[in-house]
Amino acid sequence: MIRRALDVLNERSGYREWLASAADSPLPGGSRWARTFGALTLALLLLEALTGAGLSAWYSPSATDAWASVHFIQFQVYGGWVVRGLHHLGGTLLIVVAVLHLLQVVVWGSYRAPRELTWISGVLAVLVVMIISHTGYLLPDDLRAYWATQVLLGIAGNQPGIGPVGQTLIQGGPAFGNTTLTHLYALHVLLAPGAAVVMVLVHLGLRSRTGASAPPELAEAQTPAASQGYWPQQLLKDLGMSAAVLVGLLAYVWQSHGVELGAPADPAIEYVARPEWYFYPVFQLRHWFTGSAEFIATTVLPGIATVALAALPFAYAWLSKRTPRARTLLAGAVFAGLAFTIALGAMTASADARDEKATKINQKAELMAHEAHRLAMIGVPVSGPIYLYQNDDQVWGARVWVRECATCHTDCSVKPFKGSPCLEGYATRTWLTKFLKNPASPHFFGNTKIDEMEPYKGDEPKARAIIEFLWAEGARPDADQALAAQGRIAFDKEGCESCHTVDGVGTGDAPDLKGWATEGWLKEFIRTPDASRFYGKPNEMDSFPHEKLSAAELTAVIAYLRAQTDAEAKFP
Amino acid sequence: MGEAADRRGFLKGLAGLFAAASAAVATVPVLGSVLSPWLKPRPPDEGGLLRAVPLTELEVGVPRRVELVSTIVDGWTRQVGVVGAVWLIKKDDGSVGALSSICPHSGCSINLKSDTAYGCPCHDSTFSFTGTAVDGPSPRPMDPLDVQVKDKAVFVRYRRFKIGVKERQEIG
Repeated sequence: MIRRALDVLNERSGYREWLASAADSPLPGGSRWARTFGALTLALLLLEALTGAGLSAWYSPSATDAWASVHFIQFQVYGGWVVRGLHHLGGTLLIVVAVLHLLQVVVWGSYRAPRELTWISGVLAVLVVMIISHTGYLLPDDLRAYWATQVLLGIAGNQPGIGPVGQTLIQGGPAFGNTTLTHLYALHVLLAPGAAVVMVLVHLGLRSRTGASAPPELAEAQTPAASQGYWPQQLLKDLGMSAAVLVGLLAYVWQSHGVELGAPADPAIEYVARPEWYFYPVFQLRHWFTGSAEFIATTVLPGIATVALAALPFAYAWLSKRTPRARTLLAGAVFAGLAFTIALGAMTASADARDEKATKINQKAELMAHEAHRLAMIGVPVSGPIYLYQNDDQVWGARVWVRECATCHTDCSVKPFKGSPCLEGYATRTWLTKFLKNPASPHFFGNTKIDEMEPYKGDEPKARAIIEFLWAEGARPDADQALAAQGRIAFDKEGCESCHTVDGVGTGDAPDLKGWATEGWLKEFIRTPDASRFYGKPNEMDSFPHEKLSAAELTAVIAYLRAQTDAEAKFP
Repeated sequence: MGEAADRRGFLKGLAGLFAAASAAVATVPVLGSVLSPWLKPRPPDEGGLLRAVPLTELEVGVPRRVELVSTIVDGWTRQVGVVGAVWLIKKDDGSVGALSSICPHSGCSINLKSDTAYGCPCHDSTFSFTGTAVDGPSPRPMDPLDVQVKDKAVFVRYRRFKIGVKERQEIG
């Protein structure tokens, strides 16, 4: 049945003849491991196409969705992290293998006539693969991708003449945003791969026309080389190589847990922008060509290198008339150029490794990434991943704190401290101990108009009881209620009550302490710190009505304040 | 024959093995991800009670269409939005009935047809205010939903059912 179907297929297509001729296509000099790089490049291209198709079923290119959908792929889609890991690392490997293929051709001199066009199409294919690779690098829209995109767009915009137009076209508009991601996506999944397919087909078509090249010693011996068919030796080598590399890649992805996803793109977050590693050489050149000369680093020098590489067959034609060692000399030149390029990249890599500030910034970004991963597990707000932090009141509260509160309640470790009362470790037992000992310290009321609170000079056990009483007022589940009851008595006896009421009404002399530092107390307090229940007349703190701080933001910042721990009250 | 054929068969097998290993790396994880909705289904919605409307807004015997608002997780996004609509009606004894506004026939949105009946605009199914299918192609009555009245407000547990079948079947 199957046999019969295949017979019919063969009648119509002649596939058996085609297979037989492919299997017997002659390899001058026989099978070699050095020949496997071309097939391996092809295998990796197919891997990229298949894993890319898988990812495209889940990815959404928009400023609000890109990061969230990649997070979804990474953490929610079954095996998604494996597919993404294979796609990312396979892409990196593809560039390495393509360059190895290129080097093998250079060493063999296979670029020589009549294979000039095969060579040029190969060089162009490598360029296209680099475009695909770099546009892919930008799609996750995490911090790394975002900053790298900014740099790329900047480079595009700085090209003389066409720069600004080019930048607008890549961006899809006047600024980075949704249209940039859709444009990069179109480049990454359709336009550039389309160009790559054309290049590769031309490359393979030309190769089948000229046949396989011979190893240099045979090619230059001018004698007909003993030839062997493609099947079985070379095909087995090609397939064995690709199986070993692909299975090895999978094992590496599995063992390394794939590829990282950074914290979501955020223009407000400090980050050390770096391109993908194979652009490090250009990155390094930009250190030396600045301002209007920048395009020399980004376009002219890489352009000259590419044209020189593409012109290799013609250089050989010219040089071989003058020296019998033309092939070796040219190979030496290519390796020297490669070594120089690698050295440039290594300069950037080693400078980064030594840069402590950059390392610190990146470590902070890594922590942010972990936090973002956790928060995104329940879903990312439709307004975009920047709003992700709203999924957790404490995390969001810390951000509201920095924006709204930390402008006055500054970093407590600064000396001399000139800010408003120090709230690191706010309302914890440690904070209260420090406060009762010296309320006039600059870390508390020292920088305010409040000067009537006296330091507590009673004995230690009573102080502890009073502190426990105040802690218990804050509705803390771990409060020692018995000690707090003693504290309540001490509070009256030690004279605290002569200024502080505990009735929820207050007098305007000093804050009322009923439910002190509870969510309810803090809500009222932050909205109206000058009410008679709180600081009354001497109050200097701004009120935070709804217009300034939404109810949700208020809840978040209170969650942040109430989550302070003893360890955070480090100031003197 | 014999040895040469054996060797040939072995080499073919080896080539097939290498090709299969390469193909497996490129396809198995991708297939896994494509089958994700089946291999790793999302945990079903808790189906909590959703606040619909204050009890005072309902008049005895007069149906009212209410949209239920809840947190919606759609793929990677999370938002507060309308999950669906229900027809609420207050009965003589003060209790409240809720019917899903999704027509069991082919999923259109059921409207008020007259002072005494609901109707579906797509294929003209007609239902009484208790949900009974009176006329038209609907295979079953309208789908009732759990209702609770507390703190003077009506709460509904929203659920979806398979359309086009006679037996009521909840879907995730």
